[in-house]
Amino acid sequence: MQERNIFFDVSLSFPIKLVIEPREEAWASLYKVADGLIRCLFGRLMTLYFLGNSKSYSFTTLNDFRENAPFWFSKNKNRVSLIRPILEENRNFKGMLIVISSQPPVDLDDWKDTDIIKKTLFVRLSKEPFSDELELNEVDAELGTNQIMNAIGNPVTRIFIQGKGFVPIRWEIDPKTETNVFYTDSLFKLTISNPPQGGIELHLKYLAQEPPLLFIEREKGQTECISGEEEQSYFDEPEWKEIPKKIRKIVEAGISRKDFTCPQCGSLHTYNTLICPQKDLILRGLPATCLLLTKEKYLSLSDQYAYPLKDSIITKYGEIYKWKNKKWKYIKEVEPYEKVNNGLWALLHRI
Amino acid sequence: MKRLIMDSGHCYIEFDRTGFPLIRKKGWNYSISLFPISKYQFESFMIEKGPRGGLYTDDWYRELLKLNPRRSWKDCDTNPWELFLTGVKYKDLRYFFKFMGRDFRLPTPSEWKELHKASKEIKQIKANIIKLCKEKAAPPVSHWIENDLFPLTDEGLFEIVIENNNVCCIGKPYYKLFSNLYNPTSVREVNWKVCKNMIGFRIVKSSK
Repeated sequence: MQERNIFFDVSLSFPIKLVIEPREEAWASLYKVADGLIRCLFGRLMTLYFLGNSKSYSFTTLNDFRENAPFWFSKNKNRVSLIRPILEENRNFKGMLIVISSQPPVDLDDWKDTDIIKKTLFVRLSKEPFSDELELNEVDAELGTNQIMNAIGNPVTRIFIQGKGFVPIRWEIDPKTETNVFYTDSLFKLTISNPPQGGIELHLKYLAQEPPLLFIEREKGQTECISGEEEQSYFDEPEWKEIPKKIRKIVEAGISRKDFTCPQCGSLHTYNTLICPQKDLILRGLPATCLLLTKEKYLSLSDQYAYPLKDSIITKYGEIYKWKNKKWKYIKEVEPYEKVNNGLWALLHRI
Repeated sequence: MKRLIMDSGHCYIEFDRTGFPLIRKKGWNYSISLFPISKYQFESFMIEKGPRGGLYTDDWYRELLKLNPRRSWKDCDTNPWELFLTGVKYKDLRYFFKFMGRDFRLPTPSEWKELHKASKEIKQIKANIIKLCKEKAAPPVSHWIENDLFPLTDEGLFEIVIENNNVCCIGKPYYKLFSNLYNPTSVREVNWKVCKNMIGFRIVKSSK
C-alpha cells in the first residue's frame, strides 16, 4: 500500500425546499406560516412548490416571495393535494422538504418506508397527526416558528472516515475540530467530534486499498456518504532532526542494547532507562512522543498519527499494527529502541 | 408498440401517456387498457392538467374517495377495487379523454367482451408483459401484473361502456365489494346512485 492524499470539502448545512397546500380556504394561515419560516431560513430556503404540481418557483429575497406568492398560489389553487410530483422531482435532493398543509396529502401512503419521506417535515395546520402508521416527522404549526425551527434542526451527530485497509497518517481540518482515531474489528476509523454547523475542509494523508469515504450521521435520516478528491501531498515531508550531540552516545547505547553512564548521576544504567532515578529525564532535548531513530537523526511522530513501515505501521502512541490477510492486526507496543526497519529503531519516549 | 406472441397469434402492447399498458390483439382495430383506470393514473392526469372549474379539485377528489377510499398502489393484497377510480360520471371524463389523446374513448360492449374472451391467453404472456413494463411503465403496473391484478374482466368492477351514445355497464364487481353472481359479459343498466362506488371504466384507443 502506498501513501496517498485526499481532500474532503464537506458542507453540513442542508438546503430546504418548501411545499404549500394550495387550499383556498386555508391560504391566509398557510401563507403566514410560510412567511415566518422563510424569514428564519432565508439563504437555505429559496424554492417553493404547491402540492399537486411538480413546477417549482424560485425567489431571491423575502420581498420577492411576498410579492409573487399570491400569484403563484392563484395558479395552483385547489389542485389535488398530491405529494407525488414533488417527491418524484426531488428523489435525489440531499436537503429537507417542509410541507405546510391543513390535511394529509391524499397519496401519502404510497411513500411509506421511502428515504425521501424521512427527510420531509410536515407542518400541519391541524391538531390531529397526519398518520400514525407512517412515523412522519410532523409538527403542529400552532406551536410557532421557534418550535418548527427546532423540528427542522437535524444536527450532525458524528462524522467519520473509513475504508478498506484505511489508516490515517496525518490530517488537517479547517476549522480546527477535535478528532480521534479508533481501532475496532481490524479497522481504523478517523472520527470528527462536534463538527461546526457550516462545514469542514479536510486534507488527509492515508494508507488504504481504495480511497476512504467520509460518512455523516445526523439525528434523523440515513447516513450520508461523501467521496473525496485525490490531491497532491498537502503536507511537507516529515522533518528528520539531528539527535543532540550530548545524548547521541546514549541513543547509540540504546540501539546496541548496552549499559551507559548516566550524564546526570554518573552511575551505570541499563540501555532502556529513560529517567534517572536520582535526577531527571535522560534524553533531554527529545520530544515526549513516539520517536523513530537512526544513529544520528530522529523523527518525532507528534504531528502525525502513524508512520508506514514494511507491511506494518507504528503509531504516535508506539503501537505496532501488521497488515495481514487484508486486515490490520494489532501486534504490540514497541519496546525501547526496538528495531522496526533496516537502520531504523523506535522509542516511545514517555515522561 | 411491442409485439408479443400468444397462442392464437400475436398481440401488441403500447403505453398511454400515464405509463399504463393497452393491448391490441391481432384482428382488433383498437387497443384497450389492461386495467380499469386506476386512481394513480387519474392522479397523473390531475397533476398535469390541474382543476377545471369545480372538477378535479382537491374537494372534488376527496369527496370521490369517500365512496371508494384510496389505497397505496403498493398494497394490492386486500380490497383491490380501492386501487381503481370509481364514481366519476361519463360527462366528467371529457377532459381526461382529451388529455389522453384524440383517439381515446370508452369501449363498446363488444370491444370489452373481446378483451374478456382473450383474458386467459393474455395472462399466459404475463412474464413477457412484465418485461416490457419494467422499461416503460408507471411503477404500479408491473407490481399489479405480478400480483395477477389484470385484466380484471372476470371479476373487478362495473365498467362503463358506450354504444350509439347509450351509456351502460358491463363487468362483475368483486364479490367482496358486492355479493353477486353476475355474468361479467352481460350489459346492464345499473342504478348510479346505489352503485357509483363500484363503477369504473377503461379506455380504448382506435387504430388509425
